Amino acid sequence: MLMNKAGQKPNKKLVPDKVSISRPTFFEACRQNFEEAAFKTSGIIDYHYELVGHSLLLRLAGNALVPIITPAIEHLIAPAAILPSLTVYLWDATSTGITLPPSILKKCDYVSGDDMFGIYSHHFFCLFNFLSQEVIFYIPNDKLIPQYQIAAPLLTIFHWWMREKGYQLAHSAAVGNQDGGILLTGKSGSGKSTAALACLESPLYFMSDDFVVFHCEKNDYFAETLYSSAKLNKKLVSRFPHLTASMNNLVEKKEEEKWLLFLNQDYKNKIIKQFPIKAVVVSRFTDGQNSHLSEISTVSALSAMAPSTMLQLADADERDFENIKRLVQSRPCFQLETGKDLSQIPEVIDNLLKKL
Amino acid sequence: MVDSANRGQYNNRSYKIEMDCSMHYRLNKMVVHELIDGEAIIINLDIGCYYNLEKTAADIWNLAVQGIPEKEMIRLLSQKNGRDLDQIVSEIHQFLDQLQKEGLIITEPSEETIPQSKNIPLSSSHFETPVLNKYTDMKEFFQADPIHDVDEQGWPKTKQKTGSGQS
Repeated sequence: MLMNKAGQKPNKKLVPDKVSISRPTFFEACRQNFEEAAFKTSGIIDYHYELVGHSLLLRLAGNALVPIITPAIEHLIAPAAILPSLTVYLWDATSTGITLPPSILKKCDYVSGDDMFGIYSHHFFCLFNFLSQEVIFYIPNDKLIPQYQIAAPLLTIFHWWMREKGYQLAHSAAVGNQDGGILLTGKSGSGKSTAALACLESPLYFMSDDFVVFHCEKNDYFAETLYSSAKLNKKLVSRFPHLTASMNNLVEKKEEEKWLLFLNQDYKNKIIKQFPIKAVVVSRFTDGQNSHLSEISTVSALSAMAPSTMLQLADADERDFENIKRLVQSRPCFQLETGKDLSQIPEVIDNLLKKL
Repeated sequence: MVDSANRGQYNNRSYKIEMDCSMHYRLNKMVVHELIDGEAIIINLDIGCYYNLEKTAADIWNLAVQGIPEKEMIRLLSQKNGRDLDQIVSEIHQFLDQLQKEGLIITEPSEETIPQSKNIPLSSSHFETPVLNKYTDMKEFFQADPIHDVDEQGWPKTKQKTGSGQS
């Protein structure tokens, strides 16, 4: 029988030690463990958010996960909804001593059914109950959470939730203004973040440096904000002197190549929540001084956006591929070669938006 | 078009080809793909790799995922200039083998009803050595090595080892 840190036995009725339990029983056992975890710490801390018009309630057991989960979505904080669209129960084992109930699950396993979907990834376990619109989110060791998951917390949950609501996540930076903007896609290290951060001191607004939500309404595509975090390559810090004011907000992990910034704290007014998507742009670093755009094929844009999106989203499938394909086919596609003079990047993007 | 000598060679070797090529293919369920403007983009969600195919390689892919048997592929693609028949047979077979080893397609015995190939457009004007462009740069970000097969209770089944893998 599983023992918690305090040496107490969990509830025997809801935490059977046999593996033949049903998913609903296991879900209920997880929620009991969440409540026990909250009891072991400072209680339940509630955070209310709104994402693409849908209310979200995060219930954290204690405060250990607050700096991991909440900073990147601070800009989504909203008044408490009477009936949240989605409720997520979160706890970690390190600070609470409470682990998952026994099951046959091991890391890299999926749980799949009409009513629930779950994944036990390398760093977390989550179980989405589609019937009750509740999620279990468990982190075995909060100290082992990698930087990219702090920059994009709950990505798996948002992916499943948004897909259920008819929205699509895309691995893209996004910049623009109320009239329209671009999705800036490309694999990690291609310059998405650099280009997005370069727009902070320009007339353009920042939406994302990594993931956005998009959807189609009457043949128009719209991008929606998801995270207000940004990652900056440590080698490029000297080229962003305006970000030194945000140094207190940097979360450093020595082994990481990038700084992590939470822009809602110093650039709240530069974060845009929605705009029509005018173009899909693939970013690429160059050694030159100047930045410039060139038209590229739909295939090139799809090759840049689809794999980098789908391989980072748990249980991505042909629906995601189709959504991304339709977006890319419906918008003009460009390649942005970014030069060393970062001030040119927003100019080039702004000029493009004025033409489209 | 292949010349008459080659056609004769094809007919004379038909028994051997039938022995080697009496299989057809289907897409691995963990693979998504799209053919746009004669280029194929393929993502293997099992292993976190993606691929790009052009010209003859894209044609072979398109035929394979539509269930066209290897023998019929050879017939269709040998009608294009560019190689002698032996080379075409060998290169198609090697390429299909490569697609299988990557876990992109699965081989099955051909059924009696063969899908119609006449309506499948071929993008390449002549036969070129098919090349599989493989990209592994997303593997470090790949979410997990998920086990998608679940039992009737919705719990994961142990993954069965298959012969497929990375090259």
